[in-house]
Amino acid sequence: MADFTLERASLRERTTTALADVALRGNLRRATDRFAHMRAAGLSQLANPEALRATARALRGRTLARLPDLLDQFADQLIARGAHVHWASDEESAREYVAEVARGHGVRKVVKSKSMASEEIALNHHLEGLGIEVIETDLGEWIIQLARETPSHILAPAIHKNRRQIAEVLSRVAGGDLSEIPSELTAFARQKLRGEFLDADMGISGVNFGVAASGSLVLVTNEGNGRLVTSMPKVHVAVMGMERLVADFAELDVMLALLARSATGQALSVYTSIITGPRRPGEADGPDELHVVILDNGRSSVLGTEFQEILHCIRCGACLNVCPVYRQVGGHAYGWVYSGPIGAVLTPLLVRSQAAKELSGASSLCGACWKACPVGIPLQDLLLALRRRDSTKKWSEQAAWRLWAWLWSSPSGFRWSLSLIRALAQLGPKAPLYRFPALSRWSRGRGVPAVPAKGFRDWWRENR
Amino acid sequence: MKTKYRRKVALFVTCVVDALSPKTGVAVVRTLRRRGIQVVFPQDQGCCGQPAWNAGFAQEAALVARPTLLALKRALDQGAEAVVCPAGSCATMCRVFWPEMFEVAGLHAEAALARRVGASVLEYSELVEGLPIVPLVPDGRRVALHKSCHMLRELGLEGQAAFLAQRAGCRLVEWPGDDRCCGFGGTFSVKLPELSVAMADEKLRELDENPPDLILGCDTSCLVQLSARSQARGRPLAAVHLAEVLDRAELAAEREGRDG
Amino acid sequence: MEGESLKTGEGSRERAQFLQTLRDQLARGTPANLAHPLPALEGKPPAVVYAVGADDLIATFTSAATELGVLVRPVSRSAIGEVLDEALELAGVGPVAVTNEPETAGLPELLRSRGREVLGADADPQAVAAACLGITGAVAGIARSGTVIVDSGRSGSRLVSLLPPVHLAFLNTPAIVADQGTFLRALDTASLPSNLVLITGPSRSGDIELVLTVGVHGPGKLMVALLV
Repeated sequence: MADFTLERASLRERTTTALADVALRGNLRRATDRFAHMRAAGLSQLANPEALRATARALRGRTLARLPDLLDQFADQLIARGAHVHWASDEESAREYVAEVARGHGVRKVVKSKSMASEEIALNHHLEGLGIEVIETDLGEWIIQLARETPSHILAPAIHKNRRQIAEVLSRVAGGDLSEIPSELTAFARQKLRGEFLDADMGISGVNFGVAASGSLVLVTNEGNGRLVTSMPKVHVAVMGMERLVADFAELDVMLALLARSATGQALSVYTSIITGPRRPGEADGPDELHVVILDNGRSSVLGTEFQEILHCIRCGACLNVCPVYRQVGGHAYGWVYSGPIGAVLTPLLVRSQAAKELSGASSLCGACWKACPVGIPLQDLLLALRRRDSTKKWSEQAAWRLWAWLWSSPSGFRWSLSLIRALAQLGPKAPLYRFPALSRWSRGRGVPAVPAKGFRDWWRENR
Repeated sequence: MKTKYRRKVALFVTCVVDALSPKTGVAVVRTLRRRGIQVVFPQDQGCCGQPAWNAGFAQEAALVARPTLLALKRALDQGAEAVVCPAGSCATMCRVFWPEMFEVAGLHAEAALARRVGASVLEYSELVEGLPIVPLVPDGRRVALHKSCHMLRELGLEGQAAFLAQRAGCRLVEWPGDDRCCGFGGTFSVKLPELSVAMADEKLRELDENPPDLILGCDTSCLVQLSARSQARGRPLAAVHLAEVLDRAELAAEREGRDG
Repeated sequence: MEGESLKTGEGSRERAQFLQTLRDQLARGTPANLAHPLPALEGKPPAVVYAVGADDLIATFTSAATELGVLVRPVSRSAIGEVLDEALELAGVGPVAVTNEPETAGLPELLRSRGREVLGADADPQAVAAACLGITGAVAGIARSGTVIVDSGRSGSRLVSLLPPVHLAFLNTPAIVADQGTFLRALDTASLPSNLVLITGPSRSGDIELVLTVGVHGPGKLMVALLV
C-alpha cells in the first residue's frame, strides 16, 4: 500500500490536488472524450446493445450465484490439463505461493503483463524484496513502473502523462534523449522489452475470463506482450480474481461482444488468447508449467450481500470514461488500485479502513456509469448502499439528519420550518443562517440563492 | 372565470421549488389549467426524502417521505389520475427509489403503497408533452437546455423538454456537455465543493463563446447550481424552469387575446 | 505450498475451505435490488445479433480486416508465390519462419528458391525473433471482425505469429465464419489446443496520449492470404 495515497490524504485533499493540475485535466478531458466516442461507435455495430447488456447482466448474476460449483469445475479442468491451482484466500497466501514457485525455479527475472489483481496484492513489491527483478511489459504499465507511479486508469495506466513526460521517463532508460514522437517511443519500448522477454524465467499475467467448462484462461490484449509473457518463459503464473469466471464459451461470446466495444470501441481486441493448459508435446514453445492463483482477498465477503453485483465487473473501464467526477480528477484521486466508479465501490469493500469509507462520496450519483456498464451494474445503487453502511458512524451528520427528520416528518413541522427559514433569509446575506458550515462551503464558489419571502402555499391560498 | 376541467392531477411541488422557486410551482399550475387540467394541492405534502436518502440516512428519509406519500395517496384515492412533479430528481425518487427506501427503513406497508403511488408520479415535461396545444407567443430566445441526470437516466426522459421548448419558440443552442452532471448531487455539492464547482464550470465554459439568453431545465437544484456558479464566475446566466418559459409565452398570448 | 495438481491429487483441503466460505456467504441469500431488479435468464444465452448482415463472408472479412490496416489478398493455391513475394518485399531481408500446417505446404521450398533462410516452428526463440517474416496457417477466420485464428497445436508454435515484425497468415476461405459467436460456441471443450489466439489486426497501443501506434510487441504488419 506504500505507493497509494488512500491513507495519506483525505478524499477532499486528493481531489483538490488533482483539480489544481491543469495539464492533467486537459489530458483527462481529451482521453475520456475519445474513449467515450469510440465506445459509442463500437456499440453501434450491435443490433440491440441494450438487450445484450441485459443478457450480460443476467448471465453475470447467474454465474456468481453458482460460483463455488463453477470454480470447482474450473479447477478440475485446469488440473486435468496439467496446470497447478492455488486457492489464495488472502493476499499473503497469493504472494507466498508465487514466491514459492519462483524460488523453486530459481527465478531471477519476471516479465508481467497487465494484472490489476496483482497490483491489488502488491505482488511486484514482494518479489522484488526477494531479489527478483520484475518488469512490467504493457507499455503504459512499464512507463509508470519506471516513473515509480501508480496507474491512473484501468485501460490506459499512463493517461495522466503527456508525450514529453513519457519521453523524459524513457530517455533515462535509454541513456540518451529520445524524441517525443509516440511511434519512436514505442519502437524503443519494443526493442528494449524484447530482450527482457527472451531473458525472463517466469511470466505473470492476469486473467480476463476463466472458462469453467474447459479450464481455459482468456486474455484480452492489444500489444502482444500478454502473448509473449504467456508463451516465452518456462513458467506462467496467472493471477485471477475468483469472480472472473464464465460458465462456458457461449457466455464468453456475450462478454467478448461487449468488452472491447465498451473499452475502446473495437469489435475484438487485437489478441484474444484462449490458453488451455501448459505447452503440449510437439509444440515448439509455451510454458512448461502453468500455475493459476485463484484470489479471494475479501471478495467472498461481498457474496450474499447487497453489494454482490460489484463482482460482476469485467474491468472494461467504460465507467471511468463517462464519469463526470473521474473526468475532473483522474485515477490517483481515488487513492488505490481501482479508480473511477468501480473503484469508489470496490475499494471500500476490499479495504477495511476509515479512509476507504470516504470513497462512496466521490460521486454525484448521476448514473452515467450505470448506463455505460456493459453488464449493467447499478453502481449508483451500490454507492448508496455503501453510504448507508457507513452513515451511522458519522454521529454529527446523523444528529443533523435526525433533527431534519424530526422537523420534516410532520406536515406542520415542514411548513413551520420553511416559514422560519424564509424569515431568517430575509435578514439578508450576512444573516447567521448563512454561517452554517454547509452553506459557507456552498457559497465559497457560488452565490447563495435568494429565498423568496413567500412560498408556494401563499400563492395557492389566493389562487386555488 | 369558470373553466371546465376534463382531468384532475395532484401537484407535488417539492421542497426545493417551495423554498427557492415557488414561481415554478405557480407556472406549473397555470400551464396545466390552460390545458384543461384541474390541479389539486395536497396540503400535507412535504419532501420526498431524497436529501437524506442520497446521504445514506434511509430511516430519516423514510420518516420525512411518509407524510408526502400519504398525502399523494389520498389525492389519488380522491380522483386525481396522476401526480405531477416539477423536479426530475424528486419524480425519480418517488418512482424508482421509494419502494426500496421504505423497505430498508422497515416500513413495509408504506413500501407497498409507494409502489402504487410512486408509479403515478409524472415529471412535468413528461405530462405536458402529451397534453393539448395552447396558444402562445413564440419565445424567440436562445436557450441552452440542461438534461438533468435522474430524469434522463432513471426515467428515460430526454426529448420531451426539447420538444416543448422548441414548440414554445425557443431556439435551442448546441451544448456538448448538456447531458453531463451539473455537479449538484445533493450533499456532494458541499462535501466536495471544489469538485462540484469544477463540474459546473466545465459545462458553463462550453457556453462562454456564444452565451445563450438563458439556461433551461426541469430540475430546480440543477438550475440553482448552474446559475449560482455562473454568477460567481462573473458570467451570470439565468437558469429557468421549462414551466416558466411555457407560462410566459402562454401569458403573452392571453394578453394579446385580451388586447387584440 | 504445492498448489493442486495431478501430483497432489484433486480436492485439496484448501479448495474445500475456500469454496465453503463462498457457499456459506451465498447461503445468506443475496438481497434483491428493488430499484433496479436483476433480470433472470434461463437456458443458453441467445446468439449475439449484429446491426449489419454478413452474407458475403469474404467481402465482409476483407472490408473489416482492411479497415484495421491488414493487407488482405485473395489467392489461388497455384499463385501463392505472388503473395509470398509481396510479403517478402514488405518484410525486407532476413530469415523467414514458417509453421508446418496444411495451408503453408510447399512454402519452405518456394522461400528457399528465393534465396531465403527458412526456420521451422521448432527453431529457438532467438532465431525466430531475428526472422523478418513469420508465416502461419489459420484454423479459422471471423468475417465481421476481420479476425484470423491461429492454433498452437496445429501450427506447433506461438512465436512464429508473434515475434517477427511481419505476420503472413494463410486462411482457407471455407474456414471463415460470420461472427465470433459462431466460432466460440462451436468449440469442443474436450479438444482445445493449449493456445488458441484470435488475431484482429496488427499489434497496437494507445498508451501514449491515446495516439495509435502499431507494432508494439507483436507484428506491426499483418497480411492475410485468402486461399480460394
